[in-house]
Order: sequence, then C-alpha cells, then structure tokens
Amino acid sequence: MKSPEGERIMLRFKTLAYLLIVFSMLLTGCKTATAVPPTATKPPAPTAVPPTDVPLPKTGLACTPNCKYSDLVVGFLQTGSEGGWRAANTASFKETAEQLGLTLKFYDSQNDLAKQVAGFHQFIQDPEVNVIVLAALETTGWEDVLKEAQEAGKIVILEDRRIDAPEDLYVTYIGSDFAEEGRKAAVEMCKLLEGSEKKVVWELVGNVGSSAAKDRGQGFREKMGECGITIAKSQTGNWSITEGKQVTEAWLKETQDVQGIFAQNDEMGLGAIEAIKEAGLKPGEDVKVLSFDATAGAFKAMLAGELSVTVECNPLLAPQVYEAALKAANGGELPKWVPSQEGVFSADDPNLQQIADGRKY
Amino acid sequence: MADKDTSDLLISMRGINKAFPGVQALENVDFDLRYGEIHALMGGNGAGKSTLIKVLTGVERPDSGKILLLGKEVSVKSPQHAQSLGISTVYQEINLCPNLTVAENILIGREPMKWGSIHWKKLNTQAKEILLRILGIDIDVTRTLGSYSVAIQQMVAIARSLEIEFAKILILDEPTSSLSTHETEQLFGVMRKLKSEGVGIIFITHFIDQVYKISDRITVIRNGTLVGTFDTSTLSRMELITKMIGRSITVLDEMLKTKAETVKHIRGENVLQARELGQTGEIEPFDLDLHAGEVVGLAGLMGSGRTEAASLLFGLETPDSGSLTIAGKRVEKFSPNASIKRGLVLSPEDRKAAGIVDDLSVRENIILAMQAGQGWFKYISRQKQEEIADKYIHLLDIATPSADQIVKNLSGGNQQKVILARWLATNPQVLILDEPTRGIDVGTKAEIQKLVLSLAEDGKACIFISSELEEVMRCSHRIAVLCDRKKVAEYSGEVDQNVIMHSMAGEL
Amino acid sequence: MKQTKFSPSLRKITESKLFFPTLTLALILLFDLITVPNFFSIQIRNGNLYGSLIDIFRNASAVMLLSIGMTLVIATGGVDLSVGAVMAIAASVAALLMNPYVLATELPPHLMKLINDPQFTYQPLWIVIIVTLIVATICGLWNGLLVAYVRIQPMVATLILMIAGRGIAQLITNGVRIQIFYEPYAFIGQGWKILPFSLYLVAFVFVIAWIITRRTAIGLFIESVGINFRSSYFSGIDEKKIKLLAYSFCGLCAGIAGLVASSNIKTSDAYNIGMTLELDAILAVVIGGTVMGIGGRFSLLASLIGAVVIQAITTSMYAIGVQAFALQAIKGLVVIFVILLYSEQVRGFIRKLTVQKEAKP
Repeated sequence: MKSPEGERIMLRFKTLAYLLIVFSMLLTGCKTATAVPPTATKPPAPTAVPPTDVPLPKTGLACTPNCKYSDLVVGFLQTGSEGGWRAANTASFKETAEQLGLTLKFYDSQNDLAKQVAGFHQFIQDPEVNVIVLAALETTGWEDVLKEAQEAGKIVILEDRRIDAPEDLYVTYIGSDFAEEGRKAAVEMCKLLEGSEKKVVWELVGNVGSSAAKDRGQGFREKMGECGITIAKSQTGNWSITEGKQVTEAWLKETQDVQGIFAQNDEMGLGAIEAIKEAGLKPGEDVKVLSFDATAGAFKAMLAGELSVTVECNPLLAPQVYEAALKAANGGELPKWVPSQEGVFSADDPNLQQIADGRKY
Repeated sequence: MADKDTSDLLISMRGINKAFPGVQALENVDFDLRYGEIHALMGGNGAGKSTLIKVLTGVERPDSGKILLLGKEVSVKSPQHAQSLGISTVYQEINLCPNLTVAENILIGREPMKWGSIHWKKLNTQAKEILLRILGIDIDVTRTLGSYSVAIQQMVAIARSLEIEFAKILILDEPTSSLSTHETEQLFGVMRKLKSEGVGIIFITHFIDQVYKISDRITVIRNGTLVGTFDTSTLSRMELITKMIGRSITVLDEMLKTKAETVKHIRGENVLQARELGQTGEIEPFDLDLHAGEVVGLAGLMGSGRTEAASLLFGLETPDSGSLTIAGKRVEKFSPNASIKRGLVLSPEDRKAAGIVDDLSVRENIILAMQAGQGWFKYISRQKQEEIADKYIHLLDIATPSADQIVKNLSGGNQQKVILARWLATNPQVLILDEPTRGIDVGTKAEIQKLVLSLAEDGKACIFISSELEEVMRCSHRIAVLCDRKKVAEYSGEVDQNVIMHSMAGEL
Repeated sequence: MKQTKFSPSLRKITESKLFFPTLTLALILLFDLITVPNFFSIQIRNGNLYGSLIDIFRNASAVMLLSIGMTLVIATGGVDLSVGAVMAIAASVAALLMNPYVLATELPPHLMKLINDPQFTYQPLWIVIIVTLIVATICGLWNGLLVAYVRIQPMVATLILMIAGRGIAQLITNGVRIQIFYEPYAFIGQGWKILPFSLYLVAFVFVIAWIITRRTAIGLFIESVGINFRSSYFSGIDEKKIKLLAYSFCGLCAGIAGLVASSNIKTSDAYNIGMTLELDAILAVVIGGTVMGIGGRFSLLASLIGAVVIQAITTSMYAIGVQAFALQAIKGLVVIFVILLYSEQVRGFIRKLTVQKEAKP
C-alpha cells in the first residue's frame, strides 16, 4: 500500500493532468463527449422472459418471436443531464445494455424539446434501431411522431416521464407514478406534523408544466386534507438549489408561520434548508422538509437531521425497460404502466447510515 | 419678396424655429421653392441648412412656424410622410443596397410578379425604361449598384425617388462632393431635365462654381438665421462669400503673404525620406522627401494613389519594397501607434469613418491620440485634459458650447478642426492631411489652409492632399503629382496650373 | 448659437446614465412597499442585517459581478455569451481542487472520511481561489483572442464557449455534482459581516474595475474602440489589446461569480450554475444604459443597479406570491416596461415633461 503522502502526490499529479486535458480541449474548442458517472453500478440481472405462447407480431422485427437481447438495438432519448438522478438513470441504461449484450444508441436531448424531437426522428429513420425509449421533456404533442414511429415498426417505450398520448401509440410506460409519490408524500407529511397545532405547508414546485411537478402536486393535495394540512404558498423553484433557496428565503421574510416544506425534488429541498437555517430556524425541528428522489445529497442532509423525508423515485429503470422491450419484440402483451420500485426514506430510520452506504446513486 | 405672387410656389416655409438642447438651430427662417427652379441653399458649417432640410422632410418637427405645400398648410410628420407629399431627398451617403442590382434597387418593394415570383425580365426592362425616361441615361441594370460610380449610384437614387413618389420636390444634399467633373456634368444634365419638367430642386453644396453654373436662386443662412434669398445672376461671388461668412474675405490674401514668408523658414533638415517605397497592387514604388517647415502637396485625381501613399507613410499598411526614414531613423515597425510615437500623424480622408469618435466629447477626441501615445496607465488628468482641450478650441476657433459637448453635435468643419487638434496635441513633426477641407465651408477652409502654413512656419512638415488643385497649389511649396497609383512628377516654385493638370491626366 | 432657457440641474439628472435604472428600481420598490407587508423591515440577527432588501442585493451579487465584466465587453461593441458557462467551469475547478477524492471510485476508509469533513480541503483556500480565477481569466482570454485577433463576431465567438463550457465543466467533475463541505469556502457566498460577504466582494470588484477604467486611460479607450474602432486605430489605440483586456476581465468576473454561486449552494453543479445568467447580465447592462451592439459610453454603477433591478423583480414576484405559471410572463412584462423607458421616444417624452415642469414658475 502506498503511503498517504505518495497518494497525495499521485492525486495532485492526476488533477494536474486532468486540468491540462481540459485546457487543451478548451484551446482546440472541441465539443466534449457526454460524461459518464463514475459509479460502477451493477444492476440486478433481469429475469429471463419466457417466450409468449401467442405470437402476435405487431412489429416488423425479423427475429420475432425468438428475439434475444442481442437482436435489440435500443435508441434512448434522455432528457439531459440535469442532476444525480438523471446521471444514475443514464448509467443504468448504459451498463445494463453492456451486460445484456444489446446495442444502445444514446441521445442526449440537453433539455431541449426541439433536439429531442429531432433525435426521435433520427431514430425512426435509423434502420438499425428497433426499440425507442423516450424520457419525454414535455407531456403533450407527441401524437404525430409516435404515429410515425409506429408506421416505421419501432417499439416505443416511455421511461420515467409519462406523456398525454393515446395508449395504443406506445407499448408501455415504465416509471414512477408521480401522483402516487405525491400521495405517499402527503401521508409522510401527516406523520411528521402529527401533534403539531398548525399544519401550514409551503410547496416548492418543479418546472411548471412537467408531469412530475403536476402529478406530485396533485397527489399531495388529494391526501393532505386527511390530516388538515393546508398549502399556504406555492412557487416554482425550477428543480434547482439556488431558486429553491431564493423562494423560501423571500417567504420567510414575510412570515415564519410554517411547519412543513413540500419540495418536489431534493435539490429544492436542500435550498429550502439553507434558507431556513439562515432565518434562524432549525430544519427538521421547527420546519419539516420533505422532498423527492432520494439522492446522495438528500441522504447526507437526512443524516444531519435537516431533511426529514425523501420519497424515492428509482433511477435504475433499465432492466425493467429492456425486459419489456424484449417482451414486446417477441409479441408479448404488456400493461400500459409498469410501476417502478419506490420507497420512502426517513431521517428517523435507525438504519439510515447503512441504507445510505449501500445505495448506488 | 413678400409681395410676390405665391401661386407659383411649390413650398413656402414661414417663420421656422427649431431649438436643440443648448442650441437655437433655426430662428424665424423663411424659405420658398418655385416650380421648375434650382434653388441653392448656402451657408457655412452649422449654419442650419441641414436642420432646415430635416424640418422640411419630417425628420425633425419645428418648434414653431408653418410649411405651405402648394399653398396649403401641412404638417410633415415623418420622412415617409414627406415622400408621400412628393418631397424626395437624395443624401450624400446613398441609402440604397449596393449588393443588389440597379433594377432591384429601383423597383424594390414593387417588383412585377408572375406566378407568385418576381418576373425578372419585366423588372429589368421596366428599370431600364425608367432610367431612360427620367434621367436619359442608358446603363446595364442587371449589374449590382455597387459596381457603378458614385455618380450613377446617386442618379439611380434620384430615379428611384422620383419614380416611386412622383415627386415634385427634389432635395439634393451635397450630391457632388464625391463626383468627378464629368460626373457632375452628367448630374447637372439630369437636374436641368427635371427642372424643365417643372420639378423644384433644392441644391445644397459647398462648391461655389457649381452654384453659379446651375442654380436660379440662392438662399443664404448663417447661425440659424436667414441672411436672404437672391437671384443668382445678380449676386457676385464675393458678395455671396461675404454673406456666408459674415465678414469680408481677406484671409485668402493674407495666406499668400504667409506662404511667401514660410519659404524662408524651410530649414532644409530632412524629416522624412521615402526611397522606392511601395506596396504591390496599391502604389508603385516612389521617392519622397520632406523637410522641416515645408508643405508638400499631393495632387492627383481620385484613385490616383494619394490615399494609398499616405497610408504607407503612416504605417496603416506595410510596404513590400523600399525604405522609409523618419527623423534620421529607418522605420522597421509599421503601425499607426508607432508612427505617432515617431511624430508622424495622419488626418484621414474619411472624417466620419476613421476620424472622429462621434459619441465622445470634444475634449476626449482632442486628447485621444496623445493619450494613446502615453499608453494605458499614464492617464492625463481631467484638469490637464481640459487645459489642452481649451487651448486648441481657442487656437483653432472651434465653435462648440463647451469642451464636453459630444462631437457629433458639431458641424463638419468643426469636427475637422477637432481632428486637427487631436494631432496637434501630440506635437508631431510631420502631418499628413488627407482632404482636410472636404465638405466644409469656405470660411473654415481658408482657416485650415492658413493653419497649415502657419504650422510650417513653426518648423513642422506637412503633406497636404486635396482634390482641389487650386487649394493644393495655394498651400504647398512643392507638389508631387500622382497618376494611376504612380508618382509621375514633382514641381516646386511657381508652376502653371495647366502643367500640373496635364501630368495629373498622365499626359506628361 | 443661442442657449435655450432651461435649468441645467434637472436635465443633468435625467440625462445621467443612472437616472433610468434608479427610477426603475424605485418604482419596483415602491410597488413592494404598497403590496408586501414587512418588505422593508430589516432586523439584526447575530449582528448581521437580515431582511428582504438584503436578500435582493445578496441574490443579485452573481449577476452584479457578471454585469461589471459584461459592461466593459458590451462597451467595446461586443457581447460575451459564455459567462454562465465560465461560472460553471469555475465552480467545477474550485470543487475539484478542494476535494478531488469525490471523483475516486474506491477509496481507503481514512480518505473516505475526508469526503464530508467540513474542515478538509485538498488545496489551501487561497490556491483554490487563485487557480479558479486564473482558469476563468483564461476562458475570457480565449474569447478575446477569437474576437480581437481571429476577428470572429463576438456573438459567435463566445457562443463556442457557451456551448462547450458547460460540457467542459461537467468533464472536470466527471459529470458528478460535487457537494462542497469545506466550511471556510461557504463564507464566500454565505458569510456575513453585518452585510453579506458577497456584497463586499461586489464592491471590491467594482472599485477595481472603476479604478482600471476611470483612473487610467483604459475606460476612454474602451469607449473609443466601441464607438469607432477605425478612428481609434488611426489614433494609435491598440484596439485588439483593449478587446482582449475587456474579455479577459469579463472572464475573471465570471470566475468570481462562479465562486459566489457555488459557495452559496455549497455544490458544484456544472449543469445549473450560471444557467441563463449570461442573459441576465446582458439585460442588467442594457438596463444600465450601455447600448448593446453599439457599445461606447458605459457606466459600471448603472449596470450594477440594472442587476439589482432584475433581482428585485424576481424577489418581489416571490414575495407577492405570483402563481408559478405566471412568473415568467409577469417578469417579461416588467422587463418590457423597463426597456420601454430606454426607447428614445419615451425618453424624449419624459424629458419634455420635465422641461415643461421647469418652465412653470
């Protein structure tokens, strides 16, 4: 084993080399490749899918009904790379594809709808691609492209983000049900505020119009009445720490009569925690903060006792998606929604440290 | 004039007042234009000619006064409105598209269409007809406008404005300042043709010769007030100039005396020596010597290589042959900055594009080159700046309300003086003045010529470039003549104007 | 030429570059005074000032820093679209220098502990700051070289780094969002000494910029180059070096803004830090009266006020409780109103009003 000092030098050297590479790229002005997160994730091996008895070749795949993973060429339209959850989601697709031996064509839409639609067309026209996986940036307006894809005989699977389109235009949707997450969150918030005299909650909304923001908010509202929670203020924080902080900060100047904060993702929740601390209140005690996604940052905040609950939305969806794709390729019928595995993590959990250590993202 | 029959008046402007922040630009000015006359509008720089035209064409609204068009009072709201009333203006800077064809320029916005696309053939024949009918000129309308001379471009602009608006009133603002004699004649032909068709033309120019050649009446304004309107045939040149500058012109006589004086001051010390200096494609290798206290004139037609020679000497371009020695030291590094540090400066031909920095104040414009010579960090203090500015405002008699006036609010002649001040502030040994008197009024012109000679008297060396041969001859001790990008002759002492003109034409 | 009669004092005020930004700010604050209770209340918490007004200034500090550099660039007749991306690069470089272990996939336990040790930094803070600022300045230098020496249009030249910069930032941190635990670093964006520390930083940069531009000839040269670069060149001004200086300084300002932004949220968030802030910075400069695309006369202080105006709009919206979906539209309306104040027509109208008022005895 190297001495710590030697390691330090090595690291410094690496850092330097790293910066040099970056600079040389900067000087030549070349575009960077998409970065892959470093975490070596090993997703669970997907269970083998038995070939279905009723061959219903809906798609034009040559191998139907005996397709193997190696026959699949998947075009994956990712939304972008906006945070830890998305990075883990992307990594899951890349790594699982390698393990299963299928071909993955990855397309980064960079949070630009126009780019995403262009990418979709690209995959439709690509003769190799037989499965298109879409993590949609918008909920509406997909009918025409989906029809095109259907005519071209592509299997379309929606991942993570649900869209408003006739169900026969896609094979299935795999992902969380945001409304259900919202309902779970309301139940958790009720538990947190049990015994509290007032139950005033502020809501930090994600990007206005995104399905996650809409459905989480709606789900929460469905259940919050059961224990008398009222939402006093609601504003968008655009999924970001900075804006989550700014919004909470502005509210706290006006009134400090708040018992809970319902942040629609962890980042905004972390921002709210910063604002609460600055206002001289104790997050986790004076104000309970609840957020979504269960990212690493959220776990750290929970371990510090500042974040109360995070509702998980599993990013490792690839095994389920690929399994569904294979099933569809072989003519199998799938339900229109395959829910992903989700969980609720609370700061009160005595095993929190172990859970945090064991998490892959 | 008031008792005159007004029925033949196209325009009658009465009691026009217009003030700008800090300046009364027009005060109670009257102006008439008759059918079928060419009316010259004269005045020094900053007299108010431009403002009067701006009021007439709707660019500016008068503070008071009225405008009668064909006897009816109108209020001109905008240039577009003026056009719709039949008032068309062609400016010195042509505002057409040089990269479109002549035909497109004439008919842009009303192209003949065929099946939803432009009918090109018809477009071209129509444009050709228009040019022939209105101007009596026949050119290839499918070539781009930019490929024609400025004169043709100006005529195309006239044709366009007359054709579109059926204008009865045409305003020509300094149309001839960049035209050759021949081109000017061409333009005058067109003007006479239009006049015979009843169009009233307002003609603004600095060229007194041209005024006498073409105009019927002259209106003179000075300092925003009307001096008077006169029939051209009854007003002598001397009277006109006296009315324009408000004092009798003795400056020119003085100058000749000064010139005779300065000859004595030429010390013979060689300050600039060019040997076989040239740049391929721009100017052929030439020799030139310049002595302290001497003014050397560069004569030649436009495009003869005058400006190119000046650019080489000033270091705007790097020569590819020959050598240049300034004050005994051979020049290695060619750049404006290096030249300024050597004491050689150039007042460029294009005052607007390369001379003034129009949004800066008079003070900042004056100290700009001096500061550039001192570098970024040796900042000239505000107080020092003001001293320098005041000194030159006083010395060159720059008409400005204060040193902090924005330079673009000054008239052309005063802007030119500001540029001269900028160079004088660097205390140069050699001044190259490229067209320092272009587009400025007689009074200021004489002042600048006088200044050049007095600089020489102080031991400075000057290269004086001008399109006006008389001016070059009046100011210079020695004249170098250029033709077709080549130095063809050099004359000193008393020379016959004809001799120089022949060599300018390349006949010697 | 005769002088018209008017009082010079009032005209001097209305013609000052500071007049319109200040008027706008005053109008927004007046609106807050009427509609938002407690908006102007400033309390003292732990010896520090605490209140909405302070929030406005503190949250504006990143844009204020950017606007200082942007003012100089716009004054030369250019624009720098890359400042947001340079902020992200700066944040990433700083985060990496403080804790490169975050990127390692496997670490011995004694190093693992360092990852969220609030007292640990890999490089001392001063090195972190200096290296980060050097990197940011090099980014600006790169823009300057492209604009001044390669003669690429400023918008195109800086677009290159705007697009590539965020990629570079993600590459530096290997696509990971690095949480910054080192406590002293947080002082840059979160520290208080009666006023937020970031405001002292803004004041410091402003004073430096002011000295550079107004106590040397550089300011005059920048204006001259912006108004007419040919005349400037003929006058012996080295317009290329002036542009290079302006862009480099703009990069430096973006670097400092990157430090503030990342320290404020204690994260190097290559994707979100500085996102669209280049537009806010440009808007701030425009509100400050420096003309985009033409350049010339500039006022650093007016740009700073412009930055505060933008933040005041946002904070006011939060405080008033504008619905999330209406936020952008209302912001847009306010900006249109502000920009209208800058049209010559509207200004002429206001001037006429003031002159008429003066005329009355």
